[in-house]
Amino acid sequence: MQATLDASALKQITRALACLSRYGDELTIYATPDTLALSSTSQSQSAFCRFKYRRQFFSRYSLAHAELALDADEVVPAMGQLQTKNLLSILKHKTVEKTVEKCELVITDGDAPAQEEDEQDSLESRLTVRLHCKHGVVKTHRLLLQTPNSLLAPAIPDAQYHSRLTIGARAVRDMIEHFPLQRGPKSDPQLIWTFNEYDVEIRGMETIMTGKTGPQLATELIISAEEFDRYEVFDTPLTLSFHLREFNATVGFAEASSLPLAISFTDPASPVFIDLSGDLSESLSVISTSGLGAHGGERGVRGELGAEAADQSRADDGSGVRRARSMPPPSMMPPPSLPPPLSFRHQAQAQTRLQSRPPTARPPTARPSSASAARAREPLFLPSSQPTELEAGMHVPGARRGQGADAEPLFLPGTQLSQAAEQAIRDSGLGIEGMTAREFAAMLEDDGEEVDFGPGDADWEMGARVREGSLEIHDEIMEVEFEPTQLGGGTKVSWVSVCGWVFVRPID
Amino acid sequence: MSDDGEVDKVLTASVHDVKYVMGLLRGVQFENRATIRATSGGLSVTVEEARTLLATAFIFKGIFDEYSYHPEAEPSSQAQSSQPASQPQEEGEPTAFEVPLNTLIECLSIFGNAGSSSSNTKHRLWHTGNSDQEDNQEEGSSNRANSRQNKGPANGRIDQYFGGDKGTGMRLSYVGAGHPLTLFMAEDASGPTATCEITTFEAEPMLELDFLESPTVLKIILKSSWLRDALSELDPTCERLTIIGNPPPPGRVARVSGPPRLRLQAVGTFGSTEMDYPSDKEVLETCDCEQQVRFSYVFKHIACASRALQNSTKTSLRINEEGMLSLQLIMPTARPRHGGNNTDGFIEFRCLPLDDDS
Repeated sequence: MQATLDASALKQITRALACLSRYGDELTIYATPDTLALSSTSQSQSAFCRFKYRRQFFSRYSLAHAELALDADEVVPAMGQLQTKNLLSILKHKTVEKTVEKCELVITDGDAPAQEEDEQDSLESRLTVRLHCKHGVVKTHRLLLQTPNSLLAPAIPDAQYHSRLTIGARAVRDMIEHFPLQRGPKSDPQLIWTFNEYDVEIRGMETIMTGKTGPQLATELIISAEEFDRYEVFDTPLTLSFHLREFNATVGFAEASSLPLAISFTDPASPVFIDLSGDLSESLSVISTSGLGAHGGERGVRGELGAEAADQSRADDGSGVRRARSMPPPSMMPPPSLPPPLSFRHQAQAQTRLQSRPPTARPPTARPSSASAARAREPLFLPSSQPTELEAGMHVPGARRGQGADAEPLFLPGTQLSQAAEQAIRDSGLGIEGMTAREFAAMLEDDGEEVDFGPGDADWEMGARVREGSLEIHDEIMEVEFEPTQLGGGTKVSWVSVCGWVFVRPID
Repeated sequence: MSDDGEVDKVLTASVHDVKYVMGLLRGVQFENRATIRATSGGLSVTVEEARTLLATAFIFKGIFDEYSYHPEAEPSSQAQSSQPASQPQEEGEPTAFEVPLNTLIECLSIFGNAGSSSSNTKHRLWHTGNSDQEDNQEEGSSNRANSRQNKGPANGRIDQYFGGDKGTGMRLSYVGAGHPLTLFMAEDASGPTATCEITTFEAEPMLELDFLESPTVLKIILKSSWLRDALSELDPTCERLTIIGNPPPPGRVARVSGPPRLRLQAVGTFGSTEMDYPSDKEVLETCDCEQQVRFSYVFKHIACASRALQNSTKTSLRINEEGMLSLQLIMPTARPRHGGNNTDGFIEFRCLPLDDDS
């Protein structure tokens, strides 16, 4: 891969790297003939960030051997992984901004012969950063590239239930600045966001923030939804909480690039997605929520109800799924009995979401092939707007199982299943109930008892309808629910198990 | 000898602002043990690192407002030292003593305004003035202008005659072997004064690196900023730094494609770095090199020079046949003194190459 950047593009890349360095230590570079993607996943895999640059962003961009390949799909992408800070320290150096006129990035494959006369042949892949400065001074940095240990990217779980917000970065910064957050590498503040119909309530996470210094100021901020350029929150009130370290990095980048933040999320247990789209670049940030959002009192009734379902799934598969309010007792709800009108009523409420729903009439058998084709073409990352791959997995679980290596979830099979289950049940509301039941039997076969409950991991709207039936198992499971809640507040790693990520590995 | 009173002190020197002296001393402050040599021409402060690197700061007489040197009347050396100490070879005729350099610098900055590096002092003053808006460049600069204006009429004009912002005046004296180095410091006439006595030690023999022993094979004069930036950009995990000099390409064709005149090369844990400098007048003022020169040095040693490079304007980089590196960094004084007499001090680094380089 060879890419040439001018000074302004270099500045943008440097800014992106600064943002990525807040997400994780390792930077993954992935170059296809049309895009260069830089991504980083946090060590606890609780956050992910990716910047994609189109080839027009560069003054020159070419992928080695791209001309030789007959088919664009056959081009071998160039990839590598390195420590973000090594690259960043080169590009962020104070003299670079003043003196560098042009920057070349070259990925040299280890097994390919060296193309330049002064470059030694070696078995290691290298990223060469060549800075052309004023007066003909050339600075060449060669960084060793490792083989990326994972090319995983989170996929957006389902497109139809997304809440979407758009807001300027400056406005977000102004909100966050009200909170007296501790600085320093060790502090990792968290904020709880409650999205109501007309306003947003933001609170600091006192349990985390109260340190040795004793009780601190508890700040609560309520802002009108009008502050947002776009405010479509599904199922208000919705409470989320997530850590600010990565979020701030993205906000900082957006502010510096004057891009608005397009935030989308589904439910308190699923990650938050932030999209930043520029002319020639796009960025996707995914931050897992800590799932502690439900400790507000405002949803007592529903929270009670939802508790049991969460208990059920956790008690059964031990994956620590916390859906504080989302699920009714599964045993009460076999999928065939789902009242279809309910789903339609819901669609009426959310017209925009309906549009993104894929047509259910598509023959399921066609899915795996189209999905694998898509996989071959776009191996690393699922575009955020393309839910097909995930759906394919859900509609044809058999095929999905078969491609275990291809599409296995990165972590938390349990969580993933319940996500998938939800999706399928929603779809089942449109008339494919019978199929779903079989699917889930198949999907859940390894977690014995849960086969029965699986289909029940359904929409919470439906849970509300069958409230009476749930009362009998309600009490005994309550205590199970609280234990992990406390554990979950402790460290970042532990709430990874809480978040509902769906990772798809596109290639093997 | 030493009890004869003021006049017979071996060394007396005074300066109205220690900033410049501090800059020179800090340039060699990577090792505590420093040997000060006094001659009639000025002072030299030498530190040594790992028997490989020798750094000497030359503080010429002209830098001081007042400088008097009366060699000790040692019977053995009296005869020789009566001549002016102008011989390059130092054979014991200069008065040499050892001081802990860190202590000396601490004492000199006792009033706190000597600045960590002389060029930054003004800058820091602005910042402390507007610490609230430091993040905002534009605001900061406008405030700086304001604060300048505010304090302008009161004392700005008169201060200009006395070298801008207030400095610490210093007078140092050394009576002779066995006596402490005495510093008398004051910020202004009416303010507090401080007297520091720094214990001196007998000078131990230092490493002797004579650069002129073998012929010079590479001689480059360049702006110090190039070298400073290069050293700061190199990965600190690098172990060795290789300096490669190439002769000019034959004829006047294809300068771009030819090898760079000067290349700095370093290999670190995560990769390698090369910095190429062409024979552009803006980059290399002069470059004398007959054939390819390639020597490696311990990066940590060369990096010792980076602090001195910060205040320096020009660097002369020479390598002799044995591979010994000589870096002479010119440290400009704030303003010309004593007419056309060039009193710019300089710091010289001499470093031995790594043996195993082929």
